[in-house]
Amino acid sequence: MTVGGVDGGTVDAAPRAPLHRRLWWLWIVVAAAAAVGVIAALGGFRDVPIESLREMSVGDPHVGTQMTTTITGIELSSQSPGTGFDADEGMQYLVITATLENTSNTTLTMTRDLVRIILDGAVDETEGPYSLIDLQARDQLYFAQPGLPVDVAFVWLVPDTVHEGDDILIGLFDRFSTEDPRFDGDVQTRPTPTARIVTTIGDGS
Amino acid sequence: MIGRRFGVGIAAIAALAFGGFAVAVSPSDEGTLDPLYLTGGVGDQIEARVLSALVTDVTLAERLVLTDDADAPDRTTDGVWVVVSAELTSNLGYVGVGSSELVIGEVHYRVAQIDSAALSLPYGAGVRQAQTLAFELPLAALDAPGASRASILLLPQLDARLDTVPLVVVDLTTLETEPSARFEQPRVVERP
Repeated sequence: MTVGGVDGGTVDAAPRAPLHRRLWWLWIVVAAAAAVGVIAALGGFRDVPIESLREMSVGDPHVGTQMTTTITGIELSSQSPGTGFDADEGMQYLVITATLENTSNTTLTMTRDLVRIILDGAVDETEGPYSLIDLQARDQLYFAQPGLPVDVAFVWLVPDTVHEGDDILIGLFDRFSTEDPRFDGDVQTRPTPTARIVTTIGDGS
Repeated sequence: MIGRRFGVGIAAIAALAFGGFAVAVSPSDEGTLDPLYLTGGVGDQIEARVLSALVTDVTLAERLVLTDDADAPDRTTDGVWVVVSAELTSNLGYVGVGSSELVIGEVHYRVAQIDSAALSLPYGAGVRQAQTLAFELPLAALDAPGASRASILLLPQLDARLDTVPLVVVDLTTLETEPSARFEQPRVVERP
């Protein structure tokens, strides 16, 4: 007598597919992981190739979603603009002057993230400005008021081996509104590069 | 049978419509968590939970004269300074007012960070301080439709949700622009 497939203590096992067929889903996981690994090795999902950024010149307004940034000059100085402090021995200030106009309806505080530079051997794109000076107030720029253009200087400390005429790449950044279900309303994205200026130190000064 | 299914369909559509209506009219987080503004005018004493405020004067000026440092340059602007004189009292302890705003229509202007010490009430609860708050505005702001009912929000902290906040309404269109105004350092005001 057989009850429920059990007959005298023996089990009637159904024939099973080979192991490699039963684990078909594992191939999909491995393939997805490999794809993510290759993309990450090539720079990740979020990186924007520099060559794909819109090219601009000194003096061109970069119209962002909330801020219009116009780079007006690039120069080297032994004194910091605004404070007048002398640079340490062997160092100097790289000063990028710009006009910022906040076109939004509220004060913007993330002004230091608007500009990054690549200066071969001295500054890479991860290094934010050493200071951001409001040239009229001769003080740090704390924020940009809506509708009120402000002349500023983005300042980096660089070695004195950097000279006028050296190549410099200036990246201009923007932020975008995006809906985030965790919050009631839109939030701003991280600063994203949207344009570049390829020029030399001394341009516009 | 068909009539019953039709009735169920109508009921489902009605339920969906009611759900959509409920979502549309329910208050947002912003609406439910916004600060409770206690409104007054120049010369009115306003008592909020963290901060009590009395705005004594509002002036427009082309230039700010910093009175604490003779070597400090005057603060000029391509726009206009709105200089607010106020007597503020903390009701809790140390309070900063560096997040205060001047609102014209939909546009929010933050108080100028001329001197961080001038934007704090360091002496604790119950000590009344005379303060100057300066707001730098574009000239066009004075011609904006909301300039006749500009709001000075005296925000005692960055996040004032669900809290009471003094709000002083001022008509900027009736004020003459002076060549300069003094930016006074805070001082303790004796109780009358």
